Amino acid sequence: MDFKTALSFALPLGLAIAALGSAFGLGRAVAAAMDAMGRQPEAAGKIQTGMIIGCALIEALTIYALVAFFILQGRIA
Amino acid sequence: MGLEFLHRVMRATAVVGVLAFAFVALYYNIEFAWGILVGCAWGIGNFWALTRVITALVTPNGIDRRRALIRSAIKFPVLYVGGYFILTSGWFPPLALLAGFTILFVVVALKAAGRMFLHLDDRAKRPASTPETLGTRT
Repeated sequence: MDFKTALSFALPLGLAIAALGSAFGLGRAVAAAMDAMGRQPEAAGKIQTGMIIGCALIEALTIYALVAFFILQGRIA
Repeated sequence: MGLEFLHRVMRATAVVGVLAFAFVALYYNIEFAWGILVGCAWGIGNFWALTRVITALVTPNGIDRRRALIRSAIKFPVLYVGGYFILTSGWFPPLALLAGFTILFVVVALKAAGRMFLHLDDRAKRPASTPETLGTRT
């Protein structure tokens, strides 16, 4: 298997793994935040803020994978 | 640390993005500078939309379905369709877009670190000093 073939297999696989990890992370973060809000509704504002920052960081992982995909895509052709 | 923290983060990111644009345009390359600015705008737009979606969806006061639907319909095109368009257009170098997109996270990390090292959250929790409380302290 040459470099280009390996890359054309690895790129979409890597992106899919990153998206899957991001989806699991977001799911866990939101579930934990909902749980915390249910226990302490008076702290909802702080929990929301922390969750928004966490979700943005998790989403950024997928974006980085997407950008890496586009950067490396040029090497396949 | 509430939602106003996030608004300050977005404002600071916009300022840093413009400064980075000017600096890179002057000393390196105008195409790369535009990439940083567009990436920064993409990051801010995504973060703003994420804030809107989460405040509409994850709330202890019950979900306003119409508002949540509208905000979700705005957020996902901003992140994915917008991102796909600017990445595939070929107008901007992907590394510049990535650098611009990362500015927001650097600002968040620095602001959060600043709050932690300056003990700003502890200060907010402490009761205000009154003559009575000051008198009881040794």
